[in-house]
Amino acid sequence: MTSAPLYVGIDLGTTNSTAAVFDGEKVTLVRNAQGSPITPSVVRIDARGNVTVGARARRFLDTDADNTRSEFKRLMGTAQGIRFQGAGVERRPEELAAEVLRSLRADVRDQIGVLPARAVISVPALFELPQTSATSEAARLAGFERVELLQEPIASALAAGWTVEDQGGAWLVYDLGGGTFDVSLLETRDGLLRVVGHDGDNFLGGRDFDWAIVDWAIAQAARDGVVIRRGDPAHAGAVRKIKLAAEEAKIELSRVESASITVPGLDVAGAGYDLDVTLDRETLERLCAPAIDRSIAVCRRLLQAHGVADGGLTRVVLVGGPSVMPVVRRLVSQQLAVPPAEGLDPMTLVAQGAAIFAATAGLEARPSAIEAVRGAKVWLQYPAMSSDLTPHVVGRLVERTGPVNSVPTEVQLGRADGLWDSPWTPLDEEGAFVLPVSLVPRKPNVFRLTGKNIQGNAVTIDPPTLTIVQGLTISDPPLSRTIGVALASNDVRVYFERGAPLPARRTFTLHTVDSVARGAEKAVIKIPIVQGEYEQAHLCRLVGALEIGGKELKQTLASGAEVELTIELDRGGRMSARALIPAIGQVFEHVAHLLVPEADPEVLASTVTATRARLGELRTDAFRRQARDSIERLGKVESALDDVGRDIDAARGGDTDAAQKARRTLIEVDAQIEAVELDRRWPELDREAREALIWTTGWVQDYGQPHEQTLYQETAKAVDKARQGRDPLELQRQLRLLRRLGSSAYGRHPEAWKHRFEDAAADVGNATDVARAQALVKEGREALAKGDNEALRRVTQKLWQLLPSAAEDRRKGHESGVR
Amino acid sequence: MLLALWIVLGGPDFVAQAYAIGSVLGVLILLIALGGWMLALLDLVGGVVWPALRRTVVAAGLVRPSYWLALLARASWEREPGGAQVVAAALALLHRPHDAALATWLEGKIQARARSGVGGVVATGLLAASRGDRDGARDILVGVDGFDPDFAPRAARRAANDWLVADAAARGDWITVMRRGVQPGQATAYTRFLARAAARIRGEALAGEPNPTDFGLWVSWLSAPGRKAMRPLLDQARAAPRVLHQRKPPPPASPPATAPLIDPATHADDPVAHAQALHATWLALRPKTAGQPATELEQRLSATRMQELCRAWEAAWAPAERRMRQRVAVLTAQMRAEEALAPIRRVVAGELAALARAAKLPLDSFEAEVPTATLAAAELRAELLGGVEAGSEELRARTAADRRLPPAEESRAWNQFRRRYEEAVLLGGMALRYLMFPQVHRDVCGYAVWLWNDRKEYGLSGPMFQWLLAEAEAVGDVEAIELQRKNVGAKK
Amino acid sequence: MSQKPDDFEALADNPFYVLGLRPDCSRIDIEREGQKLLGMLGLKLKSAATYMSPLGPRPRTEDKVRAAMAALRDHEKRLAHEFWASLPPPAAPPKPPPIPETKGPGPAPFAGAFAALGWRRS
Repeated sequence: MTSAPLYVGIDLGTTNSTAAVFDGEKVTLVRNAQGSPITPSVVRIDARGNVTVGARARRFLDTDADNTRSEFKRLMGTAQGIRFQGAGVERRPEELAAEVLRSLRADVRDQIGVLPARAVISVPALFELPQTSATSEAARLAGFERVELLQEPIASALAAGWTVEDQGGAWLVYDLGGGTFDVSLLETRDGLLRVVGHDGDNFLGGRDFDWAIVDWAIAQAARDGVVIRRGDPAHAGAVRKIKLAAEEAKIELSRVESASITVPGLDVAGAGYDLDVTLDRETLERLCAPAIDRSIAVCRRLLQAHGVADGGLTRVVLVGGPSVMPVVRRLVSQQLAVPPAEGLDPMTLVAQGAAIFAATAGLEARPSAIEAVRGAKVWLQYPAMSSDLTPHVVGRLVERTGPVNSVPTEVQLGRADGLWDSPWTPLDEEGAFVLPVSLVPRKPNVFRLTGKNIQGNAVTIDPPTLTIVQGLTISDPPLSRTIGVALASNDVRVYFERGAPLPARRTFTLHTVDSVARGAEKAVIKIPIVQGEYEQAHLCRLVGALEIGGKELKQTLASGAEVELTIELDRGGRMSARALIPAIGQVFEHVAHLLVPEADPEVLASTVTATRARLGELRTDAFRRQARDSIERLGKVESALDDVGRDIDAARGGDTDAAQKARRTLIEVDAQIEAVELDRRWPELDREAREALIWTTGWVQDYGQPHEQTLYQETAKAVDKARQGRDPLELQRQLRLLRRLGSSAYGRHPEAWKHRFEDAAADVGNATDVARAQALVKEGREALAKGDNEALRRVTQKLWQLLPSAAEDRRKGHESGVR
Repeated sequence: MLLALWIVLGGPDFVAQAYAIGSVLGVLILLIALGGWMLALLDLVGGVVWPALRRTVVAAGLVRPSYWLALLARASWEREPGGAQVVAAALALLHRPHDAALATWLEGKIQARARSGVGGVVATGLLAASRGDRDGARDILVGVDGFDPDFAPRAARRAANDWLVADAAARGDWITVMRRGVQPGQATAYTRFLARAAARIRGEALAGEPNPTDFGLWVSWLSAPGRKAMRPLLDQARAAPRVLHQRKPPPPASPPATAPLIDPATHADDPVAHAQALHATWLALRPKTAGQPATELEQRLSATRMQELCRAWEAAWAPAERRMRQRVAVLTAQMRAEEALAPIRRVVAGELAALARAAKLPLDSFEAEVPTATLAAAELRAELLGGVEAGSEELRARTAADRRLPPAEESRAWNQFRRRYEEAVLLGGMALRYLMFPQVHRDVCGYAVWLWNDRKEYGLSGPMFQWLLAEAEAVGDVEAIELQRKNVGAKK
Repeated sequence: MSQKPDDFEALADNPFYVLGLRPDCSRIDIEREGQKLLGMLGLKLKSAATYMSPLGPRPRTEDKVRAAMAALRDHEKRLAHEFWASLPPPAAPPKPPPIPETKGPGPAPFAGAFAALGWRRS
């Protein structure tokens, strides 16, 4: 034994970052040069290009904002460059995150004496693929040779589970960070920690408290006749200063009853102003309550989704800086009727958990922890950490040839404390063994591995020892959001359901919609990969696309050709995709753009306008139908749109983060509207059915042939049945037949085609090719004038073909080229 | 023309000289032209150029010469000279070791010269065969049957049929060989011999002709190409007794039934395990890879057996629920037993439907009074209807968006859709036929009209109108019948 | 149009069969057995490469083992899988494949069919 194992965990936070190490028994926080375990996630690059990280950089946040940046974590995965004026350089968010990681890595070296090569980094549970891959990239830039990503709530629960003796039952981890809110439901039973489910809001956090205070302070200033606008670039400096003061006041109010927000010499559009207001705890609580309520609503939604009744929780673990606020702790434990877990540090819990997780994943931080041993090399597989007291160790000889004396035929495992030995076990015909071992609870257990050759003499084995920590077993991390492929029909072919254990791999056979000629430059089959829980592709987020271009094709690809698409996710949620086209034996692996789309405020604003118009229509309709659910839903949509409006204003003022938030909210709004429309569809269809029944009955009676009348009777019955069973698909089918019979009968009426033509002509604005449709209408009118019924019919039938639209669906499905 | 140019270029001084050279050239040109004319004339008389080409240039594997010389085969390809060229080149490609560069060249020619018509389809199919994609080739070439013979040159249909028969023989699918081999309009000496030999060996009659005599076999063999290769087959056929009267196909020598891994009888006392074992037995008979015919399942899973399976499941639900209730208590799950069982019932119904579909059991094999069977029937019905509706919608959407596919693709898409519709009719009967027809008629008619009017694919769309007419008559849709009669009559 | 064999997962890929456990096993059994199998698969041991299901032997992969463990940790999912696994898997090792079936009466496949036309056997 050289030394205890070393596992490193890092909480890369929006506002603060922390590192912790774990040696198999206890967790130690890593202190930085200032002696604090908490390093602000702030990076400064001065005019000479010197990089400063942490508290020293944070000091410049208000005085030299152009060269000092914070909160870049929220831009991870976007293409947004971050500019440093003085040095005239631009950095990607992951490059700044790498600076923070590099600084924490150096702190570990200073404290422990080892520069860690491997670590676990925590990420919010609801991070999407582009964000997780940016985090991995940051770690690589910071010099880590291998990292695993861990979802923050699991980290918190792991730390809490390790610290708190009494385990068992359902837990809630309430993680309110600077900019994101995550809540996770966990369960521990027999030492197995399992994530039951996640929920959260990527745009809810302590920052919302800060902004609420800023808005309040601005309102106070308005009483003095000073107008400060958050959306006005001219006021940006003043707003930033107020925000910093607001943050300080908020922190102060955790300890005292009232605090002052004092910002002297504010530059408001050229004029000077001294802001000096006093904020008391009661006002603060009132300002923060809406945001806290929103977070509690998310908790409720999660508990409901997993059938946890009120009072069904054993404990709630509060994590994140803002959850230190007494009002947060009080409201959460009151409203959810559950005691908060005591004795846990909300600020560092995540880092501690990440370090413990590094142990369960066997991620030893030392670059080469095991010295070279001469002996028979054995590959080993065993859990680095296990709740099981008798887990298995599996081993296999790397080479089974060589001098007979150096090849072991039997092996034995013995615990270092000498209190337990396995029996001597012969290697099987593959040179392998499977041995259960016995663990001492809550300790790192070291085992010696020894071998005997065919003569019964001892043989050295490499590695000679292995360590298993008895503690918690953590289930594989679950996928935070469903991943699938958008199809041309705007449906989603789900590959992995939310909650699927990672790593995962799956293959489905898709079919191309169009043919692509070999060498055709512009022809591309796009396979969009989307993330989200919606059934319709356009509501899900596009996270990547695999493209099969004519240029790379070895042969022309037929339409309807099979494409075997495999998507693979590793433990950290990083994705790779691969498309095999069996007909031509070609493989495509290049996944195009994996970025969070940019959100342009003007585009967003126009979307809001369009959505409002749609909202108006739906509301009128909902009131007419007296559909209470829909009215309520639309109310929510309305208030969400107001939020979006405010965010767009902030985005115009240069707050890119607010733009992203607005974009996300709009997607959610879209989903709500979709739900309302779905509600509306059935009554509409039902009405159509009633009407169709009315008009067809008469025609079939008057003009129908006997066999048509019989069939009509049966169909009318089936229509009634489908209406009673509320089966829209079946109803549509029966309606088609009903209308067919009706129209056959109606066709025998002398003026039938004239009416049909007029109906079609009235709808000409919706045609796929309006110009052609209008030409047809003209042609039809002439035929009508001539009384040429045959021509009229021809024209009408051509018109019908132009009317409905299917191109729309395909466009919505992220232009998918597969079905 | 050439002479005139010479004079202009050379000026008056060279006239005499030019005249001498010119006359030699002129005679040569005249001879070549005359030769061409002669050939064309001969072609007009008996369409001899195409067969001659196939035996010479094409058989020699000369791809480019075949392509150009095929222009002379007017009589066999009156409507589509481009088709003659690409088919000749594709055939020549099969006569030589595969050359990827030539294949690519031909692909370009198909796109340029045979954008419409059956020739492009046949050439595309043969090209796929040359590339080693036999499944793809079969798929495309079978589509040639769906072309209107009036618009599909016999030479094209024969080339396709030759390949299909050869392919079937190579796979040992003699039923197809016997059916295709003597198909009027498509049969060749080659296919006829294969079909007759197979009929003799199997003791079956061919469509329209009796079981062949020894003499008949000899004649067929002598007139067919590849006599040396086919000699063993001739000998085998002659050795087989001739069956004069039409013998019923012998009862299929039932292949050794796959023994179930778990014998359901051993679980007779436990209804749940019994149903599961029975279920597993049938599931195990599904083909191992996609696309294979489910022969054994089809032969053994009768309607009665399916009813037995559904009843076994029906008997299993009550004990399953009891058992599940106990387990819910042990596991302290938040779910109720019935809730947990509901998705299982759906899975079972889905699998029953899939089994029925693979075994080609009609919808009414499911008994209405057994709830499990009703659920499975509903599942199967939805699947059949949904498939046809989606296919129909796809045709409509493509028509509306004017999204054009090459003719081979077009033919494949259409055949695929038709097969789906016919499967639904086969399993779902008249009820589904009535239900599907209105949408299918609207979409397919629009599609066929688009192919006819905008794309001049007369060979493809003609049979579609005929098909629509037949379907309209089957469901008694008077309006559609009237419309399709006109469409069918509107040949150009 | 035909179902892919993998569509019938409830029986063949049942987590209990994948892990080689019976429905009455304990939670620890699942973790222990799963971890052992993952180890064995990680070292590519033949003894772990297949498992027996009522539909015959199936290949066992790390993905399947991991998915099986995850499924059985969730009590609600476990409940459904217990239902399907109540049928004990066939104990017998897989039988040798049946005698290649005859194609019915008639000539054997004719290998020279393409050659007779002067074509390459594509």
